[in-house]
Amino acid sequence: MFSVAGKVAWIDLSNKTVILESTESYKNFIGGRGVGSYLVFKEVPERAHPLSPENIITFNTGPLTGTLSPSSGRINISTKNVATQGISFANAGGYFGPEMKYAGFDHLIIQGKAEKPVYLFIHDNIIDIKSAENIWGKDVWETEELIKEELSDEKIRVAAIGQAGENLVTMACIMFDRSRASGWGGCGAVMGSKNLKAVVVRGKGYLELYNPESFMDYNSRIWERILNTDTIRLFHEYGNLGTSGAGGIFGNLAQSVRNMEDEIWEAEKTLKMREIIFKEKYEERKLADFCCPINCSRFYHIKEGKFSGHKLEALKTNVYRAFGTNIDLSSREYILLANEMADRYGMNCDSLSAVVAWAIDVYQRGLIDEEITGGLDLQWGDGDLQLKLFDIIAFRRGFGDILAQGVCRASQKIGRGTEKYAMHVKGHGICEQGIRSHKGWALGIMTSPIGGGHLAGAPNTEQRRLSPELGMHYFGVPTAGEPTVYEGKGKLVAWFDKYKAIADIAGVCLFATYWMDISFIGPNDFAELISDATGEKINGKDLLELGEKVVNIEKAFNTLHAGFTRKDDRPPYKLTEIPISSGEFAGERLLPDKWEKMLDEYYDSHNWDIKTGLQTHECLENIGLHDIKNRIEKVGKLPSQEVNCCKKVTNQ
Amino acid sequence: MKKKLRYSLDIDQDKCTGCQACVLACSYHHSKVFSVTGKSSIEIFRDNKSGDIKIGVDQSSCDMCPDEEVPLCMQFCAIEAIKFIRKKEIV
Repeated sequence: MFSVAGKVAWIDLSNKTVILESTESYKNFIGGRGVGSYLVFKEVPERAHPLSPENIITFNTGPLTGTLSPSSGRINISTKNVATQGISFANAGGYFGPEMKYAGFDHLIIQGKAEKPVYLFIHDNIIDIKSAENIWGKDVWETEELIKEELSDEKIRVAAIGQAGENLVTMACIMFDRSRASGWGGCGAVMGSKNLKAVVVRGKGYLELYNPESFMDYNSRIWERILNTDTIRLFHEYGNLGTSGAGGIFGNLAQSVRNMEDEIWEAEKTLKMREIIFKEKYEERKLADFCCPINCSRFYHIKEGKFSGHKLEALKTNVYRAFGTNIDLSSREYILLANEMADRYGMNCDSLSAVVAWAIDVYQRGLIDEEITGGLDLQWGDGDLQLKLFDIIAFRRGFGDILAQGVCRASQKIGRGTEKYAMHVKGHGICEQGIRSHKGWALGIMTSPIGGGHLAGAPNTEQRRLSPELGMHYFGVPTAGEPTVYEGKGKLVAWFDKYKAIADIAGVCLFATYWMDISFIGPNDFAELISDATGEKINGKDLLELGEKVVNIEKAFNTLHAGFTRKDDRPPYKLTEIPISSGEFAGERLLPDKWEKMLDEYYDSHNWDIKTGLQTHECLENIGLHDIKNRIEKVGKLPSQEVNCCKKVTNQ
Repeated sequence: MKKKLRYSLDIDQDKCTGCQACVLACSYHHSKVFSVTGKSSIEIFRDNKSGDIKIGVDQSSCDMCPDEEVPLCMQFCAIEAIKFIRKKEIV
């Protein structure tokens, strides 16, 4: 096989055993999320609690990971989702993925539970299970330093959990290279439940390609295309904030404001967050992930004030919204500190913001009081309070123990009408912007199999205002670039479901794809690169079919493990009832009747049952998932396609 | 005594983002494989704590990609941090 390390390692922490298998066994799923989702479906029994030894967690690279393809440093993490009980996949950048392949492994499947804290050291085709007793209790940044010291090697790459993962916090994530998160699904808590503090890789090997000359020829043209765009110029100037920060070059952009109550932040607050201020005041250097022409990251240094001396890799727009606008906090330094503390404790910014903002929201509405908060006075825009809440959540102290369960369960536990203000999808906390006005974006977030987030089907064409001609040409959807239009968005999201799965399978960052800019990597480009790299001839259509298959495996997992149906694809209360207050999209909200029609079109595009939102017999047969069809049929959750009596409604 | 022009590569340490694309391009040039260790004339490593980028160029194994219009490492440097330095060498 080409462009792979060739080995898959099954690591059982209960028995301290490692079994090796050939990567060839998984070639039908190519790599990355395809292999991860397949393995989680196959290996995790329906009775398994996500934090039990029966759950598995996979580390997956793709065929382009570690090559000179643009933005090829990705690693996929798949597991059973702690927040939703359904599927979880999360994707991180940094340098870990390529290093894992150079160390000799394409996929890791981690099972069981270690008796005492351990970390894995993977190097030169060897896997060592080492004691982590002396680093248990340390944060992510301390962990990386301590392991570097212990192994006397500054070039190791570390994927670690912080105290949040150790304490099984629902929002716990895995941090790679200190600052790159695989954020979703509580995957950090799954590692914590296995007493697994870190996975460490060091690789000195190399990747051989099937047709390196042809690969380089095609790859050079893709690099050139990416570098000759306005999108890349914005990234190079301001990093991730350049395209969707406080205002961007385009003016005042939508934000998630005060627990997603609104999407327009007051101008005087937004002005303090302009990209240029971060650049001039804190930026010490531009940073890029492995082999990445985009340069979305920055290294910041706070040089004055209360937090003088703090240095960190930051600031993604999600983080800025999560710890800034959604908390109504307009202090740049406090936002940067919140970024640092979330990284150190190892917590996902979106779901953490969802529970923190919800707590302040329901306190302000008088639904909870200081008796419940343990004496904390929860006010908007309080930077110290936010840091205090992070602290009690990560260590599960007092009120923090309730919040640590995530916004959905915390609101259900407290009750008192607070559930209405919990911003979650399928049980997973969210923090998103532009969600009332951009209907396709909203649909992609609500139907995401991992419980919200914009990394599944959510398209970016509305933000980019794609012309009707281009929308028609690329997606068969002339309305692809019109934010407030519902029609056509079901078809568009179903396409992006499949397409974004391909990027996660290949091991390439979504920023380098069609999702970010229509000039970037498309399905046929992926096909050319993968074919040249692996020698397995594949075309763009084949890849989209594989994407559809993977999306259906994830959907089937959710049906069997979490019982999700159509009702779970609907937006939370605030998005349907509270409109945007002002600005270009003033008055916009998600209208329930139009939402239902959009859902019809979405299910129809996937050949799923419109009435229930479940998969159909025909759909699973057509894509060759016969075993999965049989499993779902056995539990009575497989409608026939004939029941799609409302099918024609979508075209009206 | 004759003075001959000779070129060498210089990577701007302040500009470099640490992405290692140049390292991979160089490993391809030398060995037709992708690697960040031992196959390339360039070594780049980012220290996550300080944000510093450590760069090493082995000028003795760098042949400036004679079959390319510009060396491959320069072609794949997105922020144009790699330059030729002209040196005079006494022969």
